[in-house]
Amino acid sequence: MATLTIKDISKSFGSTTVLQNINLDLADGEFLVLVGPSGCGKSTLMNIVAGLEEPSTGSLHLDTRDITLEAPDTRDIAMVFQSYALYPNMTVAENIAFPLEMRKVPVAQRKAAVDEVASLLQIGHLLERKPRQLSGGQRQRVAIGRALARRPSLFLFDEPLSNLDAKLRVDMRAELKKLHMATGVTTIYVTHDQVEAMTLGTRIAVLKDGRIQQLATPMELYERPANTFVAEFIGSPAINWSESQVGADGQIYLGQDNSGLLLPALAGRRVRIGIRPEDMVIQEAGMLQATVTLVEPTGAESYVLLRSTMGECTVRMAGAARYAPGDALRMAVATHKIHVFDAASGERLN
Amino acid sequence: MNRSTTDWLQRALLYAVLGFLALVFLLPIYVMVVNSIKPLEEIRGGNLISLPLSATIEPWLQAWSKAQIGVQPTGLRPYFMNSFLMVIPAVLFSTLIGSLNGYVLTQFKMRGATLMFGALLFSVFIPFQIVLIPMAKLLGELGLAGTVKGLVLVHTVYGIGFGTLFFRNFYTAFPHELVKSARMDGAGFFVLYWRLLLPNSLPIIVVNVIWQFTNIWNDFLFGASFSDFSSYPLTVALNNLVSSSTGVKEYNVHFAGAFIAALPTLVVYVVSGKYFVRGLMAGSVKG
Repeated sequence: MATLTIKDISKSFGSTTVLQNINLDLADGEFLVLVGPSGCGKSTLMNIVAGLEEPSTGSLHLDTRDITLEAPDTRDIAMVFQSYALYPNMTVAENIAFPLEMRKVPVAQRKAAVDEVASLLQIGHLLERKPRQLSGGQRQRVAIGRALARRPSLFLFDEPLSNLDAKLRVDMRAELKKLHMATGVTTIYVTHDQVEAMTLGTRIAVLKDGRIQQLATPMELYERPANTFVAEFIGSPAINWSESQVGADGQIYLGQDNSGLLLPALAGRRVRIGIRPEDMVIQEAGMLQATVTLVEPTGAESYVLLRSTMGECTVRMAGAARYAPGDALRMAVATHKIHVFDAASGERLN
Repeated sequence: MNRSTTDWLQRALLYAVLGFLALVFLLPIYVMVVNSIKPLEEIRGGNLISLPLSATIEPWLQAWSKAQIGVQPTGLRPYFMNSFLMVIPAVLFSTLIGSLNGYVLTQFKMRGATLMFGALLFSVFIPFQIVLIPMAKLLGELGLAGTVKGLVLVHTVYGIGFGTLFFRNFYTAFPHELVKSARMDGAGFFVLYWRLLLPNSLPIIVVNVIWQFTNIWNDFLFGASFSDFSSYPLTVALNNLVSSSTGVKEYNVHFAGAFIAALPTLVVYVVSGKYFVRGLMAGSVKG
């Protein structure tokens, strides 16, 4: 149990800057998700927190303790790796006990810790096996068990579910969340999967090009993205875009049509307008004209792809969609859900 | 001709060629074995290829324990022991040092690592002859001239280059996350090496052991240069046995002696040959 303060952390390799002025505060028991496309610097940040790499500038504090230059093993931080990193020459029990052995914990205590973790993760029957005799999901549990057995102040997860198949990933995701609720250990979780980020995190930091684009709760991130990158990255199907110029009277136009949104302060600006697929409705009285190009049923809901006066867009609707490609129809937009961004900088304007 | 007949012919031809080549390679071994169990008169009779009329193991006993090599008629036995006393520690040390080098060169970010590896690799290409005189001087100053210990030192030093090459390439493919994880778990430099790297290096250890064992066992130049009557390795003793100029040339004893000298490397290959091929692949493909 601890708080973590990441202050002004930067990292560059030669002339390449990987991280730029990262500031993050983790409250006690928080589950922070770092999300971003590959190469955004999230793994580097994780390695810096773990002590496997040194930051170029900045500091790290675990509670009040300065751990910026401390060795990885004395930081009281445990990490679960993407490849699980189980020691192939040791049994499951030896793997889980290894960090305790290194800390010179007495044998009896080690055994007790292994048993406790094994029953918590339901891997008691695997203790004598070698990692190569385990399935992906089982390896994952052992890796988590090894991290848990140390009772660390801080947990790091580096894309722990990305090597599992889709079904197992969903199961393990729920289990991780339950585990976090049960243990209450402060956690940083790195992923490139926005669904994992949304479902697991108490807060999410979206990273791109070594900078934090937005740090917010999942719903805030979804409902008020700070810029076009975040709006695009979070949400599936992706948000619908339209380029537009705000009228002299402050009216926001979608194609030729007045959206009904009035932002007088932006009169004359070039803007990018984003509308989530569920914020568009197909209805007779709608103001936008559109033609159906494709219907994608997923069971509980359907995605209707349209070519409209505001451009290509996707509409999400509950249940089956009774439309066929070529159908002409009209649709309406939930005015108060429209996201307006500056066309040049991509920053949010409304 | 239909297709299956062509296939069959091609196959037959292939096996004929392979069979012939195998025969060519096996012929010397056959000649050695056959003649090592013939009485000398039969060999003098002139037929090297024919099977013995009256087989005897006397030449083997002669070669092993009775033949005149040094001052005493001791046979090859004491030199066989010398070779083992030389080859075992030399293989052990060069394997250990090679794997430590490989570990340091791959798992730590070190300034000049590539250059250092290049220098170590260069030692592989230095011809033996060049180091003879400086090495003789060094051994003399260390008081190791003419001893088995001296040969151990020479072969260990020469083995480091290849050992480093093997282990470095193997450890390049070693998962970095494993090392990171062990570091976070609290494993220090040697614990990491001893508990994680080394136990997971079996294929490359086997490759290195076979390679070093064969080279050191078969070495003649260093053995002839840096040893004396009491510390000759088997290769030098065998040469003395075969090239002694007094009395009758006992070809059957020579054949038996040569076979005794070749036996250990043969055993090493037969026992672990499959690891050799497998290990070489693993190192080269992944490295």
